[in-house]
Amino acid sequence: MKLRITKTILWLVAGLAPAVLVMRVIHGPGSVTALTDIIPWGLWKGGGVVALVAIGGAGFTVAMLVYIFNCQLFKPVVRGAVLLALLCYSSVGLGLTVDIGIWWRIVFPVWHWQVHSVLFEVAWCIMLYLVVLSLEFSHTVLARIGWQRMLSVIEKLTMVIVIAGISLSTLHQSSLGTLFLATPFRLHPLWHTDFLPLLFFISAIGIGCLTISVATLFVHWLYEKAAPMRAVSGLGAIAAVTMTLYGILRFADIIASGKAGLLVNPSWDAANFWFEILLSVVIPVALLSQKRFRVSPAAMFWIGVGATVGLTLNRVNVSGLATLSLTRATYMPSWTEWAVSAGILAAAGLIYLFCVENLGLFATIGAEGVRRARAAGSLDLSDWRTTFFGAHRHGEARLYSLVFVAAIAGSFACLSNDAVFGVEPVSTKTSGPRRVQVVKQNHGCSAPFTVALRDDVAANSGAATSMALMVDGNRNGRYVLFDHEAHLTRVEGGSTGCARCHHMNKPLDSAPGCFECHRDEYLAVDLFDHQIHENHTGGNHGCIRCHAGAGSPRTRANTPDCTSCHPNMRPANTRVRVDDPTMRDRPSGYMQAMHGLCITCHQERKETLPAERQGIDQCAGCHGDLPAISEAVWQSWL
Amino acid sequence: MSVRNLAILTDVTRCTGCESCVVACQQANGLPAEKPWRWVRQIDDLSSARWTTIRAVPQDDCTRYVRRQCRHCLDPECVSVCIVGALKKTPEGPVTYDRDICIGCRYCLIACPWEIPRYSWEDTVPYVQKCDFCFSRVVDGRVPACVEACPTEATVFGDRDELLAEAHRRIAAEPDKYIDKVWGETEVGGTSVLYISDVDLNLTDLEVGISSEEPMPHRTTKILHRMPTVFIGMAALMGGVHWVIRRRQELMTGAAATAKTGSTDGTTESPANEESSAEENNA
Repeated sequence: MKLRITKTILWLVAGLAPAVLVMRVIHGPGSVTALTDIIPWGLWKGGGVVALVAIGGAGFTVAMLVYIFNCQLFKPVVRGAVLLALLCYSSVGLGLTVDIGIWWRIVFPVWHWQVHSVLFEVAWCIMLYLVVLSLEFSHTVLARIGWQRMLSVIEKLTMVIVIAGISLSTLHQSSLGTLFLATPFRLHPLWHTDFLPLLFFISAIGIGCLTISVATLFVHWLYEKAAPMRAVSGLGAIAAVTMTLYGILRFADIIASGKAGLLVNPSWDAANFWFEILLSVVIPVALLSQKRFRVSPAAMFWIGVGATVGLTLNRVNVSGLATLSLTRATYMPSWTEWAVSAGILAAAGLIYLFCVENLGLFATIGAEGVRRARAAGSLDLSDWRTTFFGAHRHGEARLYSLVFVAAIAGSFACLSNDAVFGVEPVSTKTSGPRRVQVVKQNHGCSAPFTVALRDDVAANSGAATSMALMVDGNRNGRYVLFDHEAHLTRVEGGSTGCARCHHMNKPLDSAPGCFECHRDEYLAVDLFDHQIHENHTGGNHGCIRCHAGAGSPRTRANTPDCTSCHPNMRPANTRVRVDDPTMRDRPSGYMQAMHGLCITCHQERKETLPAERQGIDQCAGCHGDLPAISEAVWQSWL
Repeated sequence: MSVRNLAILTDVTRCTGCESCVVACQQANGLPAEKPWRWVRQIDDLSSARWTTIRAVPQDDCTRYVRRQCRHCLDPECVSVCIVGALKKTPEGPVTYDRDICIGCRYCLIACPWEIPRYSWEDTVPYVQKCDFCFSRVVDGRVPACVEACPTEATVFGDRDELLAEAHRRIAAEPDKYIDKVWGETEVGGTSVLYISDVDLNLTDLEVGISSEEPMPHRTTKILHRMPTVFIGMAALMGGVHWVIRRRQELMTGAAATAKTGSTDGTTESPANEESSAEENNA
């Protein structure tokens, strides 16, 4: 039954990817990814390539143990490891193809050579290693279908193939680290080091041992057979040693290069670093060094899963997550990115199970184990075609097909407009300015002239009228009279100051919002809520309730006190003279208002009061329960 | 034209921020209309529709306007990392881009220390977007569009050595005004786009400015050039270890190590060997 459930889930997840991939091909990578110019490598590169190559390190590690060191102990898992690597690298190839901008050019590195590029070297190594892995795995296939002559050729070449595979793996596992030596200004110093190639190589060996353990244990759990625990615990011991070495090197490098301070500096990156180290090194090494955990299938499985997550986090950090703070960027993969990555992995998982069932990947499972597991789920997979392409006779094939198709349909339904119709930017909603008839009057005062709506100045009917602009500056549907000429004379640089407004604009927009210069209009820290006052006084018509004199600059200097409208703000019998013009141009934050309005006056009064009332400049003078305030604190407030 | 080391010198003190260069660049290169795409992080930032831009840098006295464009490094990292060689450093100085072979890996975007290259994410077939120094114009003996458009001669074009001399001459003539530094003279091995200024310039969006004078490609090539040795070394090591271990096992099994076992070599270790696996299962 658990086999059936696992397969159903894998088919479901695999079904998510095709819908997204169709859209990626039709509308380009921008439509389905959350990538930006600053974070151009995301989940598909960091997780789907850099991390997955490390996970595929199982292939060369186990091949090395079995064929080079001749450890017969690991023989039961070698086929599984080679297939795991083959599937990981195939997924890498597929992931890269969908990730690069022009997917059909994935083969260009074959004939467009640029030998100074690390990526070129990685691409070639991965291509060649895929060939090597296919040859290694062909042994299993040939043995199954019984092509003896081909099999004997492959067997003769075994050592050459294995050694080529190990050398190629050494190169590209380390070169994936070299890739990020090119980004010293982006990558956080806790991750960026000249030893990245070495660290990547060593950790790939360690994690390879654990991923094949996880795969072996999971498959044996699925088919309800005893896993070859001697091999698995042996792999655990090797992983413990390797990860210890990796951890020591990592810390030695950080300390030797004088970056130890960053480890204890409380920051997001430091927390990320410790979390990664805890998952990938500390916990696995601590547990794997004890034999009782190494011999327990459940413990080995969860240790392996944890360490794999930890090391995946390491690769993801190096290739993107740990670059966010230095580049001051943000990136969260879109669901479509997750779907493609998960879908490719799920498909790989299905192929793995197919090979387990049909190619005798694990001798410990055997044909009888497969038969029993299928029977437990009332499955009949005697015809291999039913597993993959679905036949009419079998219920489970119909189930899987249905789940797969439903997943495709569901993901089509969930795709965003960007993905379905191509990416289109959303413009800011603005209304064009409108022209109105106004009266301009020159008063000969500091403001060169005032502008008023024609209707508002009926008394001055004799005055000359002209046209002025009404603009919806703040994009809130309220037009205000905008005196373009007055702004021109007022802004820095006079007639050359056009740029102050018109080069501050956002794309598709011709001018910035009023509030981008008049910053106090919507300032959140301000006690005064402009919007509420605007609503209460009748929108635009209310402006002149406070900002007297149409056309004059609307600043605090010519705006009345709060108390002129809110007389009950003052306590009864207060001696604060609110009509004092010097009280007006005050910052209106709460503390400043209180200190400016009340305290200044109290200090002035103190000079003229008798000795017994000298305390009135102290808060505690009136608010008896408050402590006295020192002179220095006073001065800092005023 | 004769091969010269072409360069652009921008004098920040002369720039009024009129953005004529931006418009000229967009027209000369036929760039699409600017739109508020999701990936355009900042108003007026570089984008696939804006290969050069003017950054307003507010100062205490008055705002400075700093032009941003591809720096055309003397030893460019983007060229070094490009997997297919779509980016090239021409002998004349400009770093050019061949869109016909670019595969879109975007390594140049993360490798550029100045964060210059952009990507046309909006397109089904996207390309890398960056200033190419108006290469087709300069090989015809014309000046780049941005330089031609500048009304205040804040940005000028010429031979790199001559422009460096001019920059130092301006600094020497008004030492009180300018900071004694030519941005681009030495950073990352030198760039073909130079700046002089009266305020400190941070020409990237990065948290830390770029002060290293080591050309960027050295960081990877020093490792990369060891790789053939590593490959051969690893192969030899593995072959050697295998031989030694085989030999020891043969000696240990004593007389059983006959010529037959030795000649078949790896074959007896083939993964088809199911007997040992079965043993494992029983254990």
